[in-house]
Amino acid sequence: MKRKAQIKMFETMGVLVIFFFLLVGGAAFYFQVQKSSLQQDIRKQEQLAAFQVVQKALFLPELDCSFVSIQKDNCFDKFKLMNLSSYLSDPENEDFLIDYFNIFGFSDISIYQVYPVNNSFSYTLYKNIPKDYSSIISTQSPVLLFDTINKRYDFGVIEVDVYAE
Amino acid sequence: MQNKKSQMEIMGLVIIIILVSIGMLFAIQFLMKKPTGRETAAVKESTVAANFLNTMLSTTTDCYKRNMKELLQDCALTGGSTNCFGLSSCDYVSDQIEILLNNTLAKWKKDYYFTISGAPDVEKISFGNECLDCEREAKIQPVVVRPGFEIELRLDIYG
Amino acid sequence: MVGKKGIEMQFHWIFILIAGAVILAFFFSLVAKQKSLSEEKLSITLSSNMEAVFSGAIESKGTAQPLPIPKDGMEFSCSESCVCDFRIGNKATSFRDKIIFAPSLIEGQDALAWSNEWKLPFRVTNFLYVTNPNVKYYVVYVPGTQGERMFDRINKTLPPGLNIAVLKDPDVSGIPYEGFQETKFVFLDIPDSEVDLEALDSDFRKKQVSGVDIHQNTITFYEKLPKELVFTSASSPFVGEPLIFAAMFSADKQMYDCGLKEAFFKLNHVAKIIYGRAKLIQKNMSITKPECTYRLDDFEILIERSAMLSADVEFSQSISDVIGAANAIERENKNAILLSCPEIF
Repeated sequence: MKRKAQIKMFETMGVLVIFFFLLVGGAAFYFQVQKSSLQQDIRKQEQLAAFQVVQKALFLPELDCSFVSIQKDNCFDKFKLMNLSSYLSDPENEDFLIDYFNIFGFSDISIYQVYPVNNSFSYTLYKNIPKDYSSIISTQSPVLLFDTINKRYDFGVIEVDVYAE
Repeated sequence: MQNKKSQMEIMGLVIIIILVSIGMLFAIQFLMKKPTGRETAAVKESTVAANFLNTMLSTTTDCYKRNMKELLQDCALTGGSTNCFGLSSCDYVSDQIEILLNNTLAKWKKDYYFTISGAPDVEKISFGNECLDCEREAKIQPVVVRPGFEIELRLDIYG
Repeated sequence: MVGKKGIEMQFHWIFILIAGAVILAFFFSLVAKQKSLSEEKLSITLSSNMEAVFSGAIESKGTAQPLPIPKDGMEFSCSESCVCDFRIGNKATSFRDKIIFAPSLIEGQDALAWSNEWKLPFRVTNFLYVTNPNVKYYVVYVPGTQGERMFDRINKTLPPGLNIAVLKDPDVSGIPYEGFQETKFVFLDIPDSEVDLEALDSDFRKKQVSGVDIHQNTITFYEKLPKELVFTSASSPFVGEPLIFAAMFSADKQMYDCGLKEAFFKLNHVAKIIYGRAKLIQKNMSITKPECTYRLDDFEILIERSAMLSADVEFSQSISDVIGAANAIERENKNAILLSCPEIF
């Protein structure tokens, strides 16, 4: 009788142990799947944010081109670009940099001319790199660069590196 | 009797183990699935193709300060009658497009295929290698040469 | 023997009950935790996507597009310190660089997002207006007055799909409550003394009602006290038609003032850049085209006044200075075009 009771107890304990093993195993697997799914979502959101930074830069009124009052899409005015770049890189204009943080966040934006080949036309528009970051998403996109003195459109590239914390 | 009872219990345990193993197999299959997250990357790539074509067409060249679009129109319409530094407008614009592609997409290590269709003289302008089996983002940009006559620029970016 | 067996059975069942209850409790708590986590994750994803949608909408100027709204709706608000955000579920997302004017709550039907560019005289920024057919707008003007001319102008710009009714009499006492989530009265150049929202039907007492009165350079906001048909009024300045729409679509004066401050802040930045550009052009053209000289004093006025207005919109004298400077810059720009000089903007 005593032995029977002991066996029954062991049996019950055995069932419970196996059950909790299975439970822990299942939970571990489930949370692993959740983690990987969340990481994918984070990556997607980071890419979306990076894409938005490029779009915002392209639509800034501080940089847009207009010729005979007609605004040209996907175009930066060279003189405006030089001015804004100078404002944002001047250490005395720290409040300017802080203001543009709302638009560009942690990123490094540079624009350079590709055609006609001109190595001297290369400007860092905005640079704000965090101390620690987990990833960088880099984007390059062609843009027109309007030379208002010579009334010509040059071919340029905007490079945007967005830093994810 | 007791033998049969214990045999039944063992069978029960075996069934549970089999079910758990099948569940694990499905789980592993699910985890090995190709990650989906290319939507934003796809949008980015087709924007690059669209931006490239639009920007290229509006770019001013040194040939009488005409832009690429005007030179392509001249090439399609007249076969390149405009003289650009000793070259026909077709040859000149072809060279300029090659410079642009080399300094952008090629430099960024992107595979591409650029073609123009709609007129015999512009159809000679083509760069890159076509890949029929590759994933691509393409942009087709029509350019009106004159009413009723247009050429099409196509840029495929692979990968 | 029988007694012990009976006790054993009871203990067995008690043990099963306790174990079962513990396991069930564990699972229920797990499910509840997962549910709240999923809801939070959904709110965050929706907020993030909505921010991207707003960014896209604001850049496509002049276009109106439908905007699907989460089931529980979206709330828009601005605090006194101009911390403006929109809320989906428990997740609040800041407007950041965007200037958005919207009712305090949008729910039920899909919203309409419409962007409009603000020029003074050059493009400064785009405003984004968000509303939905659950908000009823009554536009009120007196025929034959400045109000009618104002209506003709704004009517050409307003996108279709808005729930708007036109009234040609400032007496609103006969307007019945039609069951809309919010009702807004937009008075066009009606003297403040003739605006009497307290005469509204008593059905409006516990409902959301507000009004704006658009004058020459100021807008008077009428905001109802909760559960009473009593209105407080206060004024804010405006420059340009986009700000008339801003007042029309804003939840309250606070949201309008915050948007206005942000707009002048951007004007300050853009004016500095264009001013710098004009000076560079002058410097570069001084030899090749000496006739291309620009009068740039008005930029200094524009930059100074916009800085003041971005700090506090109550500087009403500054508004007329800003308008004067903007008009002068526009004239200077037209002169530049006539002289075949590079445009100032």
